[in-house]
Amino acid sequence: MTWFCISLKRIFWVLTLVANISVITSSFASSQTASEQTLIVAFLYNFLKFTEWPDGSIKNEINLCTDKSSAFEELKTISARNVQNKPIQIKYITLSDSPEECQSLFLSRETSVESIREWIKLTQNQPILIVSNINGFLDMDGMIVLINDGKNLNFAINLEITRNSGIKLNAQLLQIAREVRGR
Amino acid sequence: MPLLFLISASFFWVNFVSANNIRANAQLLDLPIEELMKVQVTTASRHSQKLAEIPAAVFVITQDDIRRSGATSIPEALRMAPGVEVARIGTDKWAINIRGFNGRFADKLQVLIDGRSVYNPLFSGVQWEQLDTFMEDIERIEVIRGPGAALWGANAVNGVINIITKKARDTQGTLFTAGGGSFERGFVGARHGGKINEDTAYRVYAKGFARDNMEAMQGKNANDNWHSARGGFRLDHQRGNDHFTLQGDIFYNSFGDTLSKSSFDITNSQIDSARGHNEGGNIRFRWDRTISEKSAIMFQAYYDRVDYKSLISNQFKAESFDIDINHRFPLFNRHDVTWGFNYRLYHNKIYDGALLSFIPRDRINQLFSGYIRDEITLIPERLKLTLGTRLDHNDFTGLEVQPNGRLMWTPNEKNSIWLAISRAVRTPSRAENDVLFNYGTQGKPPFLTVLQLNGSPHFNSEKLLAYEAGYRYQLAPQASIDIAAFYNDYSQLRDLTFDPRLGSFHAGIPSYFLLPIGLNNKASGQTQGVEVSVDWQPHEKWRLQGNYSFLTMQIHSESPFRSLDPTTGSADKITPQHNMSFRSHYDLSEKLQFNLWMRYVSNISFYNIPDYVTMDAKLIFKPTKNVELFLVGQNLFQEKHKEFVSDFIPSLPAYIPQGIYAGAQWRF
Repeated sequence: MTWFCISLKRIFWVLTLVANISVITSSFASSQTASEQTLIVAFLYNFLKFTEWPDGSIKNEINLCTDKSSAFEELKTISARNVQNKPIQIKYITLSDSPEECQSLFLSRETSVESIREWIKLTQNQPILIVSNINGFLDMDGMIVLINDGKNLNFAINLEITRNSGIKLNAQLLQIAREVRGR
Repeated sequence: MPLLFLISASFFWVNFVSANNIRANAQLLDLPIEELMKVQVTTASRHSQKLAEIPAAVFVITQDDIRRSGATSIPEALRMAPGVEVARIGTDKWAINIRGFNGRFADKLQVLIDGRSVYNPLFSGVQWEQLDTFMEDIERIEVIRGPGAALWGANAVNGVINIITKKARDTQGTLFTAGGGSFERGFVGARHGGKINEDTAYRVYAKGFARDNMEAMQGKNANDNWHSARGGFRLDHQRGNDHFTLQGDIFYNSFGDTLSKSSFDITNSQIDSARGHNEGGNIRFRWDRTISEKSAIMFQAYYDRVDYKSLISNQFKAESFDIDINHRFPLFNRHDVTWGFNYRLYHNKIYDGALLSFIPRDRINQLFSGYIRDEITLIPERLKLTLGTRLDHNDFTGLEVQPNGRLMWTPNEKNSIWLAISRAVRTPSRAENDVLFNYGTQGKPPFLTVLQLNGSPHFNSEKLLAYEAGYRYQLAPQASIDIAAFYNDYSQLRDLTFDPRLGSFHAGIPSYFLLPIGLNNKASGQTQGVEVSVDWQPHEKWRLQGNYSFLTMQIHSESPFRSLDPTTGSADKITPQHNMSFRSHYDLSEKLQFNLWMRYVSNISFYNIPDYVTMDAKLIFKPTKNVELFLVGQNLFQEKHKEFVSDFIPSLPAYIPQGIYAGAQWRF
């Protein structure tokens, strides 16, 4: 069994060496990467750009709300940025707060399934763009789901629900979405 | 040396690797949405790492695995994990360890439930019958093979088992379960979860069961039927970025044992059986503050106590108190640092019994530790180096240093390779310091010799230097393979010794020679092994899971008692070389599930236990959305089989019977 120990140690050394060589080579290859959280924020920012709310539903700011429990801190990076000539305001809310003043609601998958269902029920037929990255969000009657396929982040839209709420999505969004339901 | 090399290499290359990551959000926000869809996603989850990213041999048993297996206890569920040797000794007794050195008081495995250690500092080991919860509330069981000492502390030598229960908000509603059968005589359980307000969820549970006697040698009844009652609660409160948890349990166990009394009591050689009971409880408070994706603070405190009484073996009271503080934060972009402190206090009192006594009876011991771990990203998404160490100070051996280094290489998303070197120690138990224990007898009168084991304050920690390597390959979205290999080098293992000058002759009927056996650290050993685990989902209704583990051991001992000592001297002879488990989970329809689980364990020469193959099967029928009916057959291939024999406490070896049980579960 000493061969086993010796060969294990040898493998260990070779792999260490290989690993270090790959440091050099891969540092020259370039591909853009970002964490899922920062990407989600960039997507949300784009959704806000390409959404049309019914007249009079927006006051001075565009309110992007999220469930307090998931503590999605990264959202703050787009706070005060302008979309459609209005500054974005981030609001951390709970189910007991009234969501009426939200233009969009993001529910991260750290929020429990039960509260996501409750959020959907609570915002039904209101002009609030509701987005989540939880699996099966469209089946729960959500509007836009962000899908991490292990490599990239993309999205799917439930158009019927979106339409019923009085929100219009830009055709460009519909074009590049991975899936559009109820077209 | 390799560790030094890694450290220097890492510092050198950190400066060279250019940052491809788009860190500045502004840059991302300016990208058109089509371009966003091409950006590669890193770090999928904020709290938990993906399995493929952990540089250690990890296997996760999920709630679904437990439900489909038909396992009614945590020890039985552990049979699903590769590299874990689970051997049942009797109805309420198990021997469980990872990577060798198994025994009823297997001392090289750390076990935690929701961050509370259940490792017994009195005898070293886990009293498995005290470890239970409402099985439906378990979220997952993480089985980490190999040393976890740098993070989990001393005694996480061969592995760590982490039982994690669900958050209260994930156990809302009411659940009733009840059933019964042959060996599982009857069980009943209820749990209710609700909300006090939007931010505060709770649950309460109660359960009870009765398990039958096992059959001992020559058709005798082992008289070890087991009755248990347990209840508990959990309260979770979320306030902004803070999460608070308060959790507690109480339990009562009534158990029996039949001892082969001849081995310790020379005046009466008949078999003796008696019943005993233990009761205990624990309470735990935890506070988590999430500062950002990579930064968090955790504080936890718990109190745990148990009163144990068995008329023939022993009686003790034990309590422990523990405080744990942990802080994680990012440093210079590429470092993910975790550090923390831990303080533990043990207080226990042992009453003299026929088998053993402690001097002193009552004792308080304290344990202080600090730990730090740095996960260094050498190449984003490709290469990570984790360096960590833990400093423990205990009352018996003083300062113990337990460092480790781990390298994780992910050449692409389908393959990952990891390497690790770790040092871990198994610290002496109170018994090894303070016990007087009637270990056994040799010969017949007038040459009868009674062997008495004496603890020693000079007994030192057992040390391990472990070399590990692993490979994970995602063949397809539905298929993956996980291979781990290790070489463990143990030194200063516990061995038995004696000094004939200390022997004394006791005149009487019968007369005998009392021979004190001492402990030393003169044994050493090596173990090598490979564990393979395969997961395959041929189609969405069918999942197959298979494990194979291979293990060999070499023990070096000069002890005259080597052939009598299963814990060290003959540890190589109590270890089955091959372990296999194969599971099939099949959904016949939306309402009907059929699950099979086959196991193979090779022979144990020390106890003359032959190898065995056996199978469990569970049929689940869901007539409506809320109701589940199930029928389970256990150990179906033979009427009875033997798995292990109790060491130290001479319980009569028992046969594990075939069993069948049925039951129902109702959720509303």
